[in-house]
Amino acid sequence: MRARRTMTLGLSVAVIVVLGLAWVIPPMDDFRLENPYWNGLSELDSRTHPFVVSDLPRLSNLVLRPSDSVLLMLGPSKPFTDEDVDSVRGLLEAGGLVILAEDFGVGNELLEGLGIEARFSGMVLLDPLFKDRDSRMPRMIDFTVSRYTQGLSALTLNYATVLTDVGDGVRVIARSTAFSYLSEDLSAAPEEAEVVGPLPVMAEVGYGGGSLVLISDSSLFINSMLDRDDNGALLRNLVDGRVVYVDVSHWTPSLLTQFKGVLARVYDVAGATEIKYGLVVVLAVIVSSVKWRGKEVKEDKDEVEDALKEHPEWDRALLERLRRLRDEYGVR
Amino acid sequence: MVAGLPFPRHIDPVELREELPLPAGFFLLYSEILGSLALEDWDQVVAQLNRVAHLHAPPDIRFIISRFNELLEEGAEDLSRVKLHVGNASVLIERASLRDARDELEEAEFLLARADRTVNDLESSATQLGSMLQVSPAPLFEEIVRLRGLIDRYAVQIWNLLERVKEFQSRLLVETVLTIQADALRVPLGSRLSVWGFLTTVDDRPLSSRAVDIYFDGAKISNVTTDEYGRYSFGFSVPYVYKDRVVLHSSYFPRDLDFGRYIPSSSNVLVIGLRYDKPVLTAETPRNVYPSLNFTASGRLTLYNEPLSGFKIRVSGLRQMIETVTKTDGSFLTDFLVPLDAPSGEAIINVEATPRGIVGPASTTLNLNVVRIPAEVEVEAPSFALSGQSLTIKGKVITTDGSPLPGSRVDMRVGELSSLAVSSDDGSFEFVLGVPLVAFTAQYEYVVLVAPKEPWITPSLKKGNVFIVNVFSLGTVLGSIEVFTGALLGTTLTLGVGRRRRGHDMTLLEEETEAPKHVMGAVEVSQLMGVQAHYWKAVAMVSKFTGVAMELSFTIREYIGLVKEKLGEAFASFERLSLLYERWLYSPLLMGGEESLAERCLRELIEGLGLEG
Repeated sequence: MRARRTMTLGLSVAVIVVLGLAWVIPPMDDFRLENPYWNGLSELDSRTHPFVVSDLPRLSNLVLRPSDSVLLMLGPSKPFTDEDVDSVRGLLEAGGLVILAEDFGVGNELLEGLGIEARFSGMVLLDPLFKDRDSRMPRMIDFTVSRYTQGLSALTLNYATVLTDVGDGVRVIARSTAFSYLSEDLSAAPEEAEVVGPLPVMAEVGYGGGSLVLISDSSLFINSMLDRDDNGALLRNLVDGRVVYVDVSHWTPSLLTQFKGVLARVYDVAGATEIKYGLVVVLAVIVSSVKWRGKEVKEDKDEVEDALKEHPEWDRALLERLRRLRDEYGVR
Repeated sequence: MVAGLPFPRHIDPVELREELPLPAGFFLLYSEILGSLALEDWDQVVAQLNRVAHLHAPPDIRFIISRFNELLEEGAEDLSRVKLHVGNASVLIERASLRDARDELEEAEFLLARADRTVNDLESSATQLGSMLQVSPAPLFEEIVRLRGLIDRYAVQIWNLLERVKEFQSRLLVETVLTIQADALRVPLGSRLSVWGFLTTVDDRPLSSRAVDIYFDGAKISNVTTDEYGRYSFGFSVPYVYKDRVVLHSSYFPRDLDFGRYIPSSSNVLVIGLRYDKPVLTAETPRNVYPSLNFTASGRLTLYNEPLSGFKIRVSGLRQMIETVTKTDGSFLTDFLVPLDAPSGEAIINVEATPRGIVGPASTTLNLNVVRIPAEVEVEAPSFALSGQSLTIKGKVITTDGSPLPGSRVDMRVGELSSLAVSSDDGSFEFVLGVPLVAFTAQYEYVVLVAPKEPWITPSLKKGNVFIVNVFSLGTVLGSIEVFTGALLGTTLTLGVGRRRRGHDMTLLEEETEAPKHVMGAVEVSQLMGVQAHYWKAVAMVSKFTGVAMELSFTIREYIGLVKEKLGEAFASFERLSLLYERWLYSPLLMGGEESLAERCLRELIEGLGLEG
C-alpha cells in the first residue's frame, strides 16, 4: 500500500517536473523565433517584432496592406501546397515583398509554383579566402546598387548555396567572390571545382506589383549570424519600416517543440475560468482527502492506547473488540 | 540537420576551428594588387585593398597580414604622390617655373626613397608570410621585382628632370610681357567682341610670329599668332554662358626654339560683363502632398512682366522629371504623382526654365511635405457579454481632425472570432458577433485593425477587453450561492448534527467529549432520535434536577457516578437509560428493541423526579 502510494507520488512529481521543464526550456529548433540559442531567430524577433504566419493560405487575412508588408520565408523544409503558393503569389501581386532565404530545402518548389526560372543550386558554396573562420562561411563583398544592398560592404553566409538559371527578369544584387566555388561533397579540393565564382547569391525578381528577393542562404539572420558583417544591415534594408510576417508553417518542429505546442494549447484551454477553478477545487479535494486518510491511519494506530492512557480502568479487550466490530461492519 | 536535407542548414560559428586562408589564392590576390601597383593603376589598388580588408585570417597570422596590407597602402600612397609630383615638375619646367619644379622633384625624391623602404619591408613580410603559410612566396616576389622596376623608372625620371632644371638654370632666360584689351567690357550674349594685345620682351622688343592662346571664362577659345609688331587680335561671338561676368586673358608658352630662351607669360585679366535677359519664374504646388496621389505644379515665366511662351520648363523631384512648355500666356502646368514609397516629410521640387538666346535661364525651388496621416479608430464595445448571446462592437474610422474615412477595411478579432467590415460613408462600422454558447468565462481581448483605402493614411490598431461569462457557469455559481445562503439562514441544527456526526465518526473517545455540546440547547436535543434522544433528554432533566452539569470531560459512567447520590430513587431508571445509550453508542449493531426500553426508562425517570405533567 505504502509502496504504491510512494510510486504514485513519485510519478506525479516526475510528470510535473517534466511538464515544467518542457514549459520552461526554450525550443532549440532551427529558426524558431523563441529560440535564443545560436540557431534561433530570437534576435530577429526582437528587432522586427514579426507576425507569425502558421497557416500560409490564411496570409491574406493577416496582411492589412501588402505594399507595406514583407514576408520572411527562411529555410522552408516542408513541401509547399498549391494553396501556399497561391497565397505567396497573392501577396506579391498585391505589391508585397517576399524574402525567400533558402539553401537545401524546398524553396525551389515555391519558385516552380510561382513560375520563376531561377533555382537554388543545392550545392555548397565555399570560399577559401573571403570567409569568416571557415570556407563554409563565405563572405560576399560584390553588390549591385539596390535599395536592399544600400550601405552594405560584406555579408557572411553559413552553409550557403548559389542561385542558378538567373535569366531575364532576375536582377542579381550580390555575388560571391572570384575565389569561391561550388562543392557537392565538401571533400573536393578547390582546384578540382568545376563551378567557380563569382556566383549569384542574392537576386530580386519583380512579380506583379511586388518583389521576390532570393537569398541563397537560410541562415543569414539566425542569432549567431545576424551581427556578423552587415547581415543586420541587410535585414534592416529588407524590412525598412514594413510590417514583418514570418512563415513558420514550413519548418519541421522537434519533439520538444511539438510537446511545447501541445502544452501551450492545453494551457490555453485550462486557462479558462471554469476549468481553472474547477481544477483548483478538484486538487483541493484530493489534497484534503489524502490528509484526512493520513490522519485517520495515525489515529487508528493509537486510539486504543490513547484511550487507555486516559482511562486505565477501561477494559482493553472490550475496546479492541469494539474497534474490530467497527472495522468489520464498516460502522464508526 | 533536418532529416532529408543533403547538408546542414548551418553550423555554429563558435564551434568552427579557424581555417588558414588558401595560400595559392592568398598569394594570387596579393600578386594582383602588387601588379596593379606596378602598372600605376591607383584606383584599382585602392579597390583591391578595400576587398582584402574582408579577408579572414586566424589570430596567429592576422598581424602579419595586417602589416602587409598597411605596407601596401603606404607604398601605393607614396608612389602615387611621386607620380603626381613628377608630373607637376614637368609642367612647371615647361613654364620655366624652375624653383617650383625643383621643390616638386625634391618632394618626389623623398617619397620615392620612402616607397623604396616600404617595398623592402613588403619583401620581408612576404617572406614571413610564406613561412607561416608554409608555401613559397615566389609569386609575390615576382610582383615586388616589377614594383622595384617602377621605382627605378621614377628615379630616372626625377634625375632627368632635375638635370633639365639645372640646365635651364645655367642659361640666361628672357622675360616676356603679354597684354590684352577688348573693344567693350560689357557686351550682350551673342554679340561680337574684339580683343587684341602685344607680346614683347621685358625690354619692349616685339616678339613676332609667336602663338598666343586666348581664354574666355577659363576655356581656350583661340590660338592666334603675333604680327611683326608683336600684336595679336581676335574677334568672336560671345558665347551664351548666362553669367553676369567672365574673365578674359591670354597666355604665351615658348615652343620649339623659344623653349629655353624666353620665360612664359600670362596677360592681364579682363573682366567682361555679360548682358542677357533674366526672366522671372514663379511656381507653386500644394504644401502637403500625399503618396499615390497626383498634385499639380503650376507657374508662369515672364520677362519684364511680359509672358514668355514656348519656353521649355523642367520640373524634377520625388524621383521624377517632367518637361513641359510655357503657353502663350507664359503659364505652365504639370501633374506629379507622389510615389507610394516616397518617404514622409520634406521633399524638394526643382523648377527650371531652360534659356533661349538672349533670354537666360530661371529656376526656383519648392518645398513640399509628403504627408502620411495616422488613422484613428473609435471603438464602442461592452465590457461584459454572455455566451450564447450576440456581442456588438461598433466604432468609427476617422482622421486626426475627425473627418470620416469611408471604405476602410476593418478587421475585428475577439479570441478565435474574427470578422471583416468596410466602414460606411460616415466612417462607422459595426460587428455583431455570435459568442459561442460554450465559450469559457474569461476576459477576451479584442483587436480592431483598420486599413484605410487611402495609401497616405497609415493603418491603425485598437485593443480592448470584454469579459465573457459562460451562462452555464453563471447558473452553477448562482445555484451554489442559493444553496449556501439557504443553509446559512435556516439550519443551525443541520450544521450541529453534521458537526456531531463528524465528531462521532472521527473517534470513539471524541464522542464523550463532544456529547456535552448537545446538552446546551433543547432545540438540538429535540432533533435527536431514539435511544440517543431519550438519553439526552434525561441528561438535561438530571442536570437541572441535580445541578450537576454534564461536562466535556465526563464519560457516561462518570456522570452516573456524580448524580447517583442526588437522584435518589430516580437513579435506577437514569442508570439503565445511560447504559442503554452507552451500548447504542458503542455496539449499535447489537441493539434491538431498546428504543422502547429507553422510552420507558425516561418515563420512569420523569416520574421519579416528580416532573410529570
